[in-house]
Amino acid sequence: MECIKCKSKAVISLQHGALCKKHFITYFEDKVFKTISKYQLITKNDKVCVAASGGKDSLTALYLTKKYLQKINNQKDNLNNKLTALIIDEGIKDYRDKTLQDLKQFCKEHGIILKIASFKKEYGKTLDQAYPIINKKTGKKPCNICGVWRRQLINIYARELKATKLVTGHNLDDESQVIIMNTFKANTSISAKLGPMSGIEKNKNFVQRIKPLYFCSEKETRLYCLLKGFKVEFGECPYITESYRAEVREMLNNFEEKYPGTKTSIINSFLDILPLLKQRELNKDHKEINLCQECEEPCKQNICNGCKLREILPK
Amino acid sequence: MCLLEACQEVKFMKVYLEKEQKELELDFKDNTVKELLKQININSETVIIVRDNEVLTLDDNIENKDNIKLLSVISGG
Repeated sequence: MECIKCKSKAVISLQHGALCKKHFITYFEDKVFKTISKYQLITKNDKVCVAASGGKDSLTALYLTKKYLQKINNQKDNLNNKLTALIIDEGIKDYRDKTLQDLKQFCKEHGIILKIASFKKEYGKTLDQAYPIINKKTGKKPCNICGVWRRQLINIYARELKATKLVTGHNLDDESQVIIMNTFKANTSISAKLGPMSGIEKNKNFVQRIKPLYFCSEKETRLYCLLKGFKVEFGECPYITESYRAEVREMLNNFEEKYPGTKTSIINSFLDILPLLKQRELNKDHKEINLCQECEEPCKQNICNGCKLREILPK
Repeated sequence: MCLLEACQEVKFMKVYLEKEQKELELDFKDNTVKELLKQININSETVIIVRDNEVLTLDDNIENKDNIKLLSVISGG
């Protein structure tokens, strides 16, 4: 198959035609930069924190955020006060320790400051240690604990870094899967929080989350990493249990293979109605957002879910 | 040619699956990457197909002597 731009050997076949290595890299980077500028995800005065794991999505988001910041700022400016990578080390043996090393190496090579936060330091226990204790008392699964603590620490650290934007590596596949999952389960209110710039209400203690890879499929992102020579190894979290999401993913991949463009169409249809969903949520009678008495994180009760979980652990 | 020598001349295609971390050896009688994925029942949306350092597309021709790698595009959690 030949590239539609230059007739060289193609590396990918997309809906609008096949592209070679050089033209795919340009196409991919342009798509990310257009997403950032169209939705005003990052502007010149922003201080950006990138939530990273060392996987393909966050490495790509980190690399292209840096490239975008260089584009909109003076190339010679030191980006150290504008960009920080943040990783949460949950303490998952044989999983996070490996991706942490990959991320450290990546940040070193690209001159990016890396901040490391850990469950062990913040909660006194790694996820491997905390999970059996919390599970015994509450029946909670590891992902329920990990998700709450990760979100809490990412926001606390981003706030401490005085970040105005928080980049996550969520991609087209993640977003289209969540839209379909929420639709199948009639969770429309939860879907209202989605979009390239997530959330419904702004809050000064909540760092605005943004998704520059919103229109990039997993396949495109993995290929971009491969062609750019980023070290990405497949590793699976030992706690992974996602049967429903895995089924939705398989269904969407089957549709995409048969009807190319399905995932992008899901996203575009959703973006058409998203302003209405967000407005509907704002019009509802809802509770004021409080600040957690323990950690000052925005939450709906007096104590946030992260601190409630911490209190279960022995002092 | 004795029977043993004839057997040694049969070349199987080696296909490494990154996600499963295993290598398949198979007798591939068709022509293209698309036909290979169909034979081993893998959705083309979930993998990047590599031969040595060359990224392949679905209509690229492959042969039994090739070493193929299927890189998983799905993150592991």
